[in-house]
Amino acid sequence: MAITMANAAEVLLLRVRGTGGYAHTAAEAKELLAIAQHTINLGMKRVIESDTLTTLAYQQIYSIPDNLPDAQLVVSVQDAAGADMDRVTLPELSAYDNTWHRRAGTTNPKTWTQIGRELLVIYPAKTTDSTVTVEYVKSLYSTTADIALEDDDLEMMYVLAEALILLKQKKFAEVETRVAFLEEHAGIRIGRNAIERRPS
Amino acid sequence: MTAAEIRALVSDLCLDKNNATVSDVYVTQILTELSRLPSPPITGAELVEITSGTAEYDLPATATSILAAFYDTKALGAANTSDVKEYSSTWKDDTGTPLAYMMDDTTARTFRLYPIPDTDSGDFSFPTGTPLGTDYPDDAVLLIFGSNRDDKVPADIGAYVALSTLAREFSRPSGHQDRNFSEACKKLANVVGKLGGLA
Repeated sequence: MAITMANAAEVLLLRVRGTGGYAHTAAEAKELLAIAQHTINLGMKRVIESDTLTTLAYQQIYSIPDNLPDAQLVVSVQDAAGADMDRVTLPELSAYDNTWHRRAGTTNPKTWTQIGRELLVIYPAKTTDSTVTVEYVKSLYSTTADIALEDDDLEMMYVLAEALILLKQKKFAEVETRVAFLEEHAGIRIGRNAIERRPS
Repeated sequence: MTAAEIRALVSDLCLDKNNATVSDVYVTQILTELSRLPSPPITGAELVEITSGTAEYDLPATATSILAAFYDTKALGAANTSDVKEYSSTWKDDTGTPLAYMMDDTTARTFRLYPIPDTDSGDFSFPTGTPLGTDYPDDAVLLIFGSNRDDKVPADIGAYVALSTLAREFSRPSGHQDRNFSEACKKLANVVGKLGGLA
């Protein structure tokens, strides 16, 4: 049976209830759960959906928010005949064809790349409108929809949301245990952050 | 999440003990730093209209870094002024079909083409509403860029920005400085960033 966001918020608030703790509202709990569910799903790539993207003649670059508003990370793309297209990176595509942005033909596209969260490139373009099927990790950021993660991942969602609530309570040792749990169970290694690791 | 929602999360997580004005500066600063990563999470693609004889152009409003640039059908190389000086002693006056773009000063919010274009872009009216498709104009520049747009940020990026903002806000000398809180925010930002694929 689906867990409603209201039920999940109750569970979360019970888990962090302690003497002398700061009182949290259900609305605050739902917001932090929505962030946690979205983030865990992104990291674990669990809730995958697919949609048809109408590709336009001569166009290769598509806005993901405008065309696939629920998509966060594209995991695969199939052409109109259902064949899997190859995934490449932007540097690989540019190295392969430095005029890729205007390449068009009559055959189905062969490769795709996602640039950040916002752009999807379908290469080469077709000279007529067509379609591709895009499979993606779905955004689960909602404070009203039922919880979409399966049982195996619920604990990670609760632990991340707990960590955010415990941060507000300045229970740093307890935050630390949640970080360690997530590091172990989500298979991530916490080191310097993305900005700190920028090439100088 | 919108910028307002990120700022609300910042205030909520620290029980309003932050200085909202300083936090706002950090939010913008961190979004900008993310947009300058080699693989920025927020990206955009826009055409720039070219005028014959004009070398320097404004970046799109939210662009902070160029990931790829094209002139007409060809890719433009990234260059800096010293590269171009070495290539041509008359570089400032050279005209022709652009081969490279320069963005020496990342704070200037402009880029320069080398050589200076000698042709105007084609029509930028986009009659079928597909500027990157059928209506793609001749002799235009296409930029693919990292963006610090803050009107609709994925929730994990919003949380990363909020936590990183708190890490900075509570580590700086102030009446509310709290290094333990700052450190915990930093660790959680790293967790959220890793899960969201900020490499």
